[in-house]
Amino acid sequence: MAESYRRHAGAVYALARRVLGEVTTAEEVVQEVFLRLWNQPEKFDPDRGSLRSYLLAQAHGRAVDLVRADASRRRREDRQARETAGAGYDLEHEVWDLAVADHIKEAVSALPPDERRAIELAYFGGHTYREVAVMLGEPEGTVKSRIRTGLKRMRPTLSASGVTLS
Amino acid sequence: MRAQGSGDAAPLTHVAIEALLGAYALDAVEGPEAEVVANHLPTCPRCRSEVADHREVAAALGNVGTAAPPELWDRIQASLEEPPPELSLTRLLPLPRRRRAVRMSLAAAAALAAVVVVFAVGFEIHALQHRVNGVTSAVSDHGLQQVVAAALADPRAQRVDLRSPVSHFSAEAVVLSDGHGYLTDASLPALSRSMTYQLWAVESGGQRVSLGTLGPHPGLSPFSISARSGATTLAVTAETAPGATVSTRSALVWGPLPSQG
Repeated sequence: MAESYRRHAGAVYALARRVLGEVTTAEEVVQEVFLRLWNQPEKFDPDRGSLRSYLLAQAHGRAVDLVRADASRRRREDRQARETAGAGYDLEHEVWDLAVADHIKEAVSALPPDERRAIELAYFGGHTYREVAVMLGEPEGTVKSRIRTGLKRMRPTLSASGVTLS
Repeated sequence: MRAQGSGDAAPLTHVAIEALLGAYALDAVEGPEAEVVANHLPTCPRCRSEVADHREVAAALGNVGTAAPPELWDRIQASLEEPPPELSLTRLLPLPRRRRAVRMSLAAAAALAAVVVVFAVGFEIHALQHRVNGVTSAVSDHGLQQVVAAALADPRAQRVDLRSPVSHFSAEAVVLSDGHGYLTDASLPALSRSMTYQLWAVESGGQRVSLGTLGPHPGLSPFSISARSGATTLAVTAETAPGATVSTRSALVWGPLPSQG
């Protein structure tokens, strides 16, 4: 458990903090995720992916739930409004600042911009695909397709470049 | 073909469910649609596999790896009462196709690390772009260990701790009075073979001068500086192999050079 924490807690914490936009709740998410791993290790099925991706998926789901709660959403939207006031929506740059690993940059930059934007808004923004469609002014079906196609497109690039998640 | 739903969730065709898999993997599907997908996955290995693949990619994107607050583990540990059932970690073993692993926590350190650290010193750097100095060729690995041991025992030698405030990465160096220095220890993640660590002397104005490349797995490494330049800091970056003449990458670890005299 301690070894799993040592290896993965940083990434779990960073993702939760990224989606939630604050540290206190992000710490709670990390705690919850690792306690769940401890109490319900059978929920992790290694045949379905690495432990790291499992923990990150757990953290992302929990963070998104919290973001979508009304109170959290209001705080977050207020915060985003302040952060982006006068400068427009600048999530793309924030993501670039975070995802600096060369291989990930390479995979992400290889995406068509519309696919990249849809994935970023959904994953890092914590928005549903329907919300993303509204934000981008695109049909919902188009956004669904862009997210799925973009994820598929990145996988071989990441695999070929040796990125490992475990 | 219509896929099985449950409860109030309206059934969706398999094609419609497939179209949702990417968004579902990113937690971007809500309500009855999410319920339909969740109910479908246990019955459909192909869709289950696709969601797992999407989540691996998403994990790479989200894998920004800054350090978690140190006290957080204490809180978690305090909550652990009974030993859990055995945890299967078989997939933690590196996959053959991914053996050129890059630990992604490196990304966060690179993203967050600031480079501007100013300390007063005076060392002139013998810039050795892309090569280590003559000491490397003069001594064997064993000999190098002896040289480094002697350097560490030299009372006039000065230690340099290279650290990062945002990660657990670190390195140590020792610098002798004659300008010879040695990277003696490095706690840095392994890089892929297409990349290399590189040691830099950073001048007070921020200009970097290469002191040599360290390879993807840094070990004992000699370098050479001498006292007349404005170098104030040692820093390590990760560069595309075989190394960079000019680096614009964020330093992963850095530490102040000892002041002269």
